[in-house]
Amino acid sequence: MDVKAEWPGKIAEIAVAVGDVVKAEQELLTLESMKMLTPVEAPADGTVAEILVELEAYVEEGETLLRLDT
Amino acid sequence: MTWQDDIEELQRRKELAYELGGEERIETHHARGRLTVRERLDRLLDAGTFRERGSLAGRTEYTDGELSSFSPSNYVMGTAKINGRTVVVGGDDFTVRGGAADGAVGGKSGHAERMARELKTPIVRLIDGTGGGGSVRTIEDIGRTYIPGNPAWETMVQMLAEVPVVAAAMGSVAGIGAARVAAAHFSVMVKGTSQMFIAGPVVVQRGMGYEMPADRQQANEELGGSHIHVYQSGAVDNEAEDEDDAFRQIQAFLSYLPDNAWQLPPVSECDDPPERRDEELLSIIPKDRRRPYDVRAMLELILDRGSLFEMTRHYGSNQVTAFGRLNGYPIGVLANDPKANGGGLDGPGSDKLTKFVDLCDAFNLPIVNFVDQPGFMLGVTSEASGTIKRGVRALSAIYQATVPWSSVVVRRAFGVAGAGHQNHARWNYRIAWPSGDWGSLPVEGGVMAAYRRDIEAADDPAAYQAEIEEKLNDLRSPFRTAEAFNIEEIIDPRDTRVLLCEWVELVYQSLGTILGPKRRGTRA
Repeated sequence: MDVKAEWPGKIAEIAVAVGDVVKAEQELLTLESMKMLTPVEAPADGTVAEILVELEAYVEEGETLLRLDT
Repeated sequence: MTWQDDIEELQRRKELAYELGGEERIETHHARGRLTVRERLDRLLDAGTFRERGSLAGRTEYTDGELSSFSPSNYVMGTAKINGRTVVVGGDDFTVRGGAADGAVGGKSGHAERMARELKTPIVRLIDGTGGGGSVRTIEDIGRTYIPGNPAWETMVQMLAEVPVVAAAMGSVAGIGAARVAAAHFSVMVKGTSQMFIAGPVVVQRGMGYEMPADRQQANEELGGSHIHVYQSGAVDNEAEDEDDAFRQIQAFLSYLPDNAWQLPPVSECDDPPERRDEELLSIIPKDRRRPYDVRAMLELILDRGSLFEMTRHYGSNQVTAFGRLNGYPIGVLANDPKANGGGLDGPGSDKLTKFVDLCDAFNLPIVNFVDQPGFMLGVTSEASGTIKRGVRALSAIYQATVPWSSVVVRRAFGVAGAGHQNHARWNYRIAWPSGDWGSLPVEGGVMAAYRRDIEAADDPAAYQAEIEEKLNDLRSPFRTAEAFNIEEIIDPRDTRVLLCEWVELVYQSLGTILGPKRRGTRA
């Protein structure tokens, strides 16, 4: 399952690593947009398969941030 | 001699009308997870209140002067009550000619619209039809083609200024059916069983060469399911889990509104004390300016318990538009959601704001705006989507509104969008929380723009920038703004409810002076 950015912004925190088992609604990373730190939460239970962004990177709306095996 | 024979004929014909499109078609309709139009009316309306008009209309055949076949009009309508209040209601019957508008017979749907306008009652449209021209088969029936005219559209536009208009997409809705859904104050569609489009998959594939899934249901869903219209296009306000949920939402929406623009909104009994002070309000806004909070939880703490009803939640989600009550008095609620692109106002959020402010203004609902506005959304995507133009349109709505207005600045008010929290030429009941933080630009972003030359010339630019920021941050306290009466009052957040309850009672006393339709109507 692809976890996408709902709006553009900067990756301010990455709270998980590849292989981590996460629960639905668990915070995966933080996106900074309009000076606000907004958590990106897991849409479902799963395992982090791939992280496609780096800290401080700018992402566009709709860009895939990470992939979950669910 | 009595008219008994004719009464029996009348009864027989009504029974035929209740057979709809026949058992087989009803079964197919049910198998698709949908209720028939008469089942829908039973669930939506107060029991026993439906007064049908046009129950005898239909397409008939006669053999030797006797009625031998009857296919009822596929539009069922009349007056009825919802929670004790009269509405006009009309619904398409998909089991007769797929709900196509030309199967309604004799302009029944236009009659319903005119009836609501004349009686000055809300109208509820349960739309389950395949379009205005219905089928191209009509050409063969009438032996010619025809110039299309949107039936009753003049009435429908006027109604947006006069009576609450509710529309529900209940099945696969195309063409004029889709337009009748979109031209409403409140629209709802059912997840999974309703879809909406300008033209359905068959026409799209033929006309655009766009490959649609072979499975018809899947194709409908891909083209116009709620994931499109509730989450992306904003053409439909709310998504319902099932048909009963759609009826519940329609009932809830109407409960905040008057019957028409000439009346005051209905005030209800309230068992939540106006003087309730919730301790949580003291800490709900994080001290760290960059941390968001749950705006809906904040609203629940202030409004009458259980009175929050949100509209258009999934479109332009940075802007919250909702109805609520304060001590039983209905109000329109605006707020910004810091969890959705930091609360930055974008094009969709602006469009949503325009419609909602117009709607509150049309039906005399005082507005409370809980302001935490960082400004219009920045960046290329936002510029390209016309945020500034759509935002200016929202400002027009705010400046044209005549309903009483309160602004509660809970945190940020920055830039043009932040300034747009109210019409500054009017008197507004504005209060702020100690977390108030405002300006043309936030200090963090604005320093480089304003002091670039000085910073670049400094020996240690980074240190110099930090120094300026610190100096300006020292001046950032909202108390300094209050000293200059630039914010009229700073309050303890726990007092918000009691102050707003007092305000709303006061403004309802003068609401009578602004009743009547606004000329511009609602930009639906």
